[in-house]
Amino acid sequence: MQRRDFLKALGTGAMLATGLSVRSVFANAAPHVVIVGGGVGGATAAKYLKFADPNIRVTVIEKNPVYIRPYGSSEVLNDHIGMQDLEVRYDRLRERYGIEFLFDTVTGVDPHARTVRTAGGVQLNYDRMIVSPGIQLLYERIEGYSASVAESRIPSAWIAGNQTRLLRDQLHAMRPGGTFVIVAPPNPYRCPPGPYERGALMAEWFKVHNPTAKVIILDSKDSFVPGPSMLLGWNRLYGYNVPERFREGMPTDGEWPMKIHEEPGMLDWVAGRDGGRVLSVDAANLSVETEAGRIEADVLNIVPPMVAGKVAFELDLVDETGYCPIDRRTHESTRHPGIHVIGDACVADAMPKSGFSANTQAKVAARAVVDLLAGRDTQAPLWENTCYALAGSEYGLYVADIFRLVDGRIARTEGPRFLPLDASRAQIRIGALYQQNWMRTFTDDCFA
Amino acid sequence: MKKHLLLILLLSALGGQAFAEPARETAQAWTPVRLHAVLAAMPQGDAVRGEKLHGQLFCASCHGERGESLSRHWPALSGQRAPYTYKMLLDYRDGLRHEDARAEMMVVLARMMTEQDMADVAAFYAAQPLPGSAPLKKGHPVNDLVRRGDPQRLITPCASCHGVEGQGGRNETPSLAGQRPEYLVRTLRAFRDNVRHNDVHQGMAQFAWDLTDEEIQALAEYYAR
Repeated sequence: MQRRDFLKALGTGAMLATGLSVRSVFANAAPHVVIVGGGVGGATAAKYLKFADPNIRVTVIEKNPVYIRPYGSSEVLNDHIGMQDLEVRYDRLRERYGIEFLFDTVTGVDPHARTVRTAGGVQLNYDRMIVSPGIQLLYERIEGYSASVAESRIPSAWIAGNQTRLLRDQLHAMRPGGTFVIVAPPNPYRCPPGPYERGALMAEWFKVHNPTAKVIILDSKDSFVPGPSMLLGWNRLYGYNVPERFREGMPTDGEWPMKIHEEPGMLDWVAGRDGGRVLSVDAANLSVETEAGRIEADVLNIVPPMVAGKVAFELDLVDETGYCPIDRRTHESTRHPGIHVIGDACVADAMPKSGFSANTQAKVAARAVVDLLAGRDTQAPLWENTCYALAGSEYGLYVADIFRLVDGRIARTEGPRFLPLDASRAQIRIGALYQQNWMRTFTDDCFA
Repeated sequence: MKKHLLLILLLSALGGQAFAEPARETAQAWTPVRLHAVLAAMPQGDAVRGEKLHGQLFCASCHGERGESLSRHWPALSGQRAPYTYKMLLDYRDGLRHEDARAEMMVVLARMMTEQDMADVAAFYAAQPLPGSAPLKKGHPVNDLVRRGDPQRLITPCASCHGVEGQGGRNETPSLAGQRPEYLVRTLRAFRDNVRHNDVHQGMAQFAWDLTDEEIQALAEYYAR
């Protein structure tokens, strides 16, 4: 069975990526690793450094004492969970592993002296630094959009927080028969299936609470991950008609065929080739100008273009792509030695920007840092990623990959990736179950 | 109901160690008479079809390619007695077995299976070799408990039901030999602490009530592969 071979390979990948030594070589002079950013990447790196060698001193510098997880945060919009369920605390990392936390903002680094300063006036020396800054949203790249519009009227809700709550409240108060418009971002961006899952989850919620509502996803792209399997889910659940070019391999008979719907369903996706690119936003009238014309919304959700988090710019780790170039083997910055960059902010070639990716990259970087501190060679790493996505609360999808180094770049290995288009109802249901379980176990792997 | 289950899974995710108690079905507790009748009516299992289901229902992704178990998180099913596997699937389906968040996965799966499906996967696992055996281990701290029991605490010898080498006994009495020790520990604790209730008239739980943590650990190691 392909799936089983794949799982075997995945197991091996995980072991290789996390195969850390427990013998300490730092008994006399414990090195200090400073981690900037306490999200998925930073927290995982801290924990796995301590797994590798508890004698390493690990300090995480993070702005917020409580982390609000972005993965799974669209499930707040349909009341599947509440805002408080997104909150993750650092107590376990502190108490179980002795990781130190400094809730502060980094203001500068001297990569030669290997010191870091904070807004709170603290100066720390480090032997190696790991930076996991996530992303920042470039609201102003869309004419008529801005951070203040996002906070008050047209949320992006792509970094979970107040905008998530705002969007949830707007959706729940939307007039009967209203239109929810999502503007999907251009590549590369955090959480590739995210905008499409968000549209699906709201369509499902509207079916019960606002059955004449519409969901429109506007896109500058012509495809997305996990493309056809998501489109098929929309077809089955929300009456979406799959464009001809995506129909190959979709079941036309049997247990659950793809249908051609006479009436358009409640969810639509306007690809770039169909004029889905947004040119400007009229915040006062809640409308967007697209290449195909003006679209009025009752609730408007814009996910703007994004680049590496601010601190990556402040530490001069970013190149002209807006992301941080690294030596893929160690995740060490090619701009400043001694500083490793992981997660959404780093240039990781074929790896998507996802929490899962950040978690694996953190393990790879932690191992590399320990090896470098010990003066050892570090093995070529393997990375893995699975993006789970829901087309409905009981309709699960995924794309799963293993990555390895090829000519200094991170490349996808061959193998089955997606839930097959002819997957049974049971497999689809199990996919949703896996997604929900992943939320729990993944959070534990990073933060507990 | 399923939606509710998911919600609970998710809520329990962030609630740390304590898993929220799922809404219980009004499941009918087993009696010896009913169990006898249910097992007598168990469909004839088809191991070939069972192997297919083992792949299609993704059983393999946790329980291993032949049911041998891939990690400490999930039990081995290979070599397991078919009536036991069949009964467990019924128990998950009917809400009698739900001792922790892991069980929720099985509840959802079992509700998608017919009784024929259950008998077929049970036949597939029964056709695989046991992952180990647990012969006499003289000098092992719980050898006496396994072989002689403890009359003081009215504990019947484990071997008298589960077999002299832990290979399983009659009907639904499961094999233990070669099982993941972590699973055996979780199971004995679940019986001892009254969070698992799918045995007939507390036929297993009553022997677990008096076990210490040390004994549970030692018993698990005794039977583990």
